[in-house]
Amino acid sequence: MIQNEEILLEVKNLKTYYKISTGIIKAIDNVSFQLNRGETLGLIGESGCGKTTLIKTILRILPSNGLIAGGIINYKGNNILKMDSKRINKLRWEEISLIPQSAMNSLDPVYKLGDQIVETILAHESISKKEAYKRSEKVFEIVGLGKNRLKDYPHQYSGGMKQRAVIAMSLVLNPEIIIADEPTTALDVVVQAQILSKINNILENYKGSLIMATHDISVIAQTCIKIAVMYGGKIVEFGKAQRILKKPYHPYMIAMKNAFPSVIGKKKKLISISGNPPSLLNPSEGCRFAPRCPFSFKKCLSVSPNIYKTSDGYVTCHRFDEVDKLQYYSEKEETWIQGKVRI
Amino acid sequence: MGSTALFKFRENKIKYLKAVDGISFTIDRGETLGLAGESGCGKTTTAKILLGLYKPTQGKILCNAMDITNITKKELKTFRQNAQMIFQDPYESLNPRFKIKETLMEPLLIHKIGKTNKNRLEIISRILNDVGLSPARNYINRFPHELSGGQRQRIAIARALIINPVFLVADEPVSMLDVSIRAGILNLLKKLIVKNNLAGLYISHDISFIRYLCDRIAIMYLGRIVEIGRAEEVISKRYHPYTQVLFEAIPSPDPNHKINIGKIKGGVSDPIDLPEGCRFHNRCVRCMNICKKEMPQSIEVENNYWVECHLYNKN
Repeated sequence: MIQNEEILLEVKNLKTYYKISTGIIKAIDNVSFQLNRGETLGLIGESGCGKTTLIKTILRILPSNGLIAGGIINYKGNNILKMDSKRINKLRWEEISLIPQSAMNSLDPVYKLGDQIVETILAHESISKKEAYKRSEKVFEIVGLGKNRLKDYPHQYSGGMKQRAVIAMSLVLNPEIIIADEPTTALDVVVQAQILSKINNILENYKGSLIMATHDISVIAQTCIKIAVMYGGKIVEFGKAQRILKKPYHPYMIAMKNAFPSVIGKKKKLISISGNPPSLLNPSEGCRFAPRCPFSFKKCLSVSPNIYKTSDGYVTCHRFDEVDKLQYYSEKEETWIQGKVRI
Repeated sequence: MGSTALFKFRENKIKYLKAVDGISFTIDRGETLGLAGESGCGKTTTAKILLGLYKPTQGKILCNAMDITNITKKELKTFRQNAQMIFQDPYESLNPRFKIKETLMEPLLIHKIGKTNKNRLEIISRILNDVGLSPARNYINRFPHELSGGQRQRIAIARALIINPVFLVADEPVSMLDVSIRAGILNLLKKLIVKNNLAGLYISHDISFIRYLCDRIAIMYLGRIVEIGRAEEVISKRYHPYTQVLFEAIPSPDPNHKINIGKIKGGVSDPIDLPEGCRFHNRCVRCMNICKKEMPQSIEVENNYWVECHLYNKN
């Protein structure tokens, strides 16, 4: 990828809450990160961590009970949160496009693919239908679909093909940033491998940036240069993928590493984290991971951890200075059995 | 590990859509067989046939030396006490109107297990403990919607095991759960299969979890088992070209190990429109002339390790 130091997206102290009958859910609570041109950023986290809310906030497509409670999102220096609807409509798809979750279900079943892509182009650019169609052929070629398939309906496509079609649609207006929300979750492993290869292929010649949200560490390892680990509505660790996947600093990320079995190398014992993700309805003031963390002490439960700068990003953990010790103990199974060992 | 084969499943042919087309395998007590393959390969159909939910078109199924292929309704009820299933979706497989107590009581009542209500409640408490949901009194009066996905799946496991079956089928039991809790459920399944000396069939498209849980692995492709052997052997030896592709497609959490998907072309054929000869020949980089005309037979490449591929023809 063609990288440089230009900052495309800067998120600072972002807060998005949802109003429900019993109170307020703090879905993302003080999230900050930066995306440079040419970077591929992976957002990793499980259900309820806030990754989809973050994506919806950036694109300003939150549901009616969602409210942006603070912070800024600067796209090329302009705050997205202060843009009027005309400007936002231009931003969406032309500058920032989306490959949504369950992408295959996002295609209109009663229109041919060619018509859907042409419609998208013409909604943003005043070019002729013929030119728009030519562009559709071009993006189909990029994703490895034959241009004759533009004349087909979605039901005539396999799952993998629908995914490629949706990726093609996200490219068609040459956006600066593409956001992919769980792009390969519903696909078989061989098809997933083909799609990931294709994504890497496209990225080699692409001058923009990619944000990929997924719960699958392996998918991130294949495509991303930077990672933001999300838990309980916050980013708990941010930095280079190479380093985080080999030597994570935050206990949650260390635990995630232990939870992934592999077909390569020796068979290792799988360790799972007991407990569940926290409720974000009136969450505690302390570290959100503390109740499940084998290394937590009293302070963790009541005081929110500081942001500690690392060589390639940051981590939020009160015991960051003891990270070598934590990593040593995390390899042992007894550490993760709740209530057994106090480290 | 028992030496008595618990299941023998031979030469099952289905006529029109050959969902499962000529597969044979055995599962011993205390042993778990993993069935791996992509969508449409026939793994779920196989599971349903073994549980008596579908009737096979041809072939035989033996459970505990009893022929259950053409089982009668009356015999089916007894059989159901021996064979149970855990489904993929923990949000759909529990009756939302039943409290946990009722969900677990139902199988006991149907199979007349437990002499008194008090006795049955004790059995329920014990099984909840076994699946890691204790104290039981915190769970028996809850409804499924009050529990998390992982907790619901533990209830599903409890329900399957409460009547002491000898055979357990798990169809993608963790694919809808968060990654950090999958390991817990799998560790639980592993522990209970060993403790109760069950024969297990574990179906998944995620081979890394199959490796973790299973003693043996069978790789399915378009209705046939193309490779079957001990798990660690299949994972390292990968005789069949499809097995090689499947394993190489698995993304690794190591960023220095990028996947290499060069060795395969195209997509899976439609099972209604199967190619002549070997089902995989049209995508296989090692396809020979014979592969296009003749279906390969199962060849024993090592002790109790079978592969269906012309590359290993003894002649």
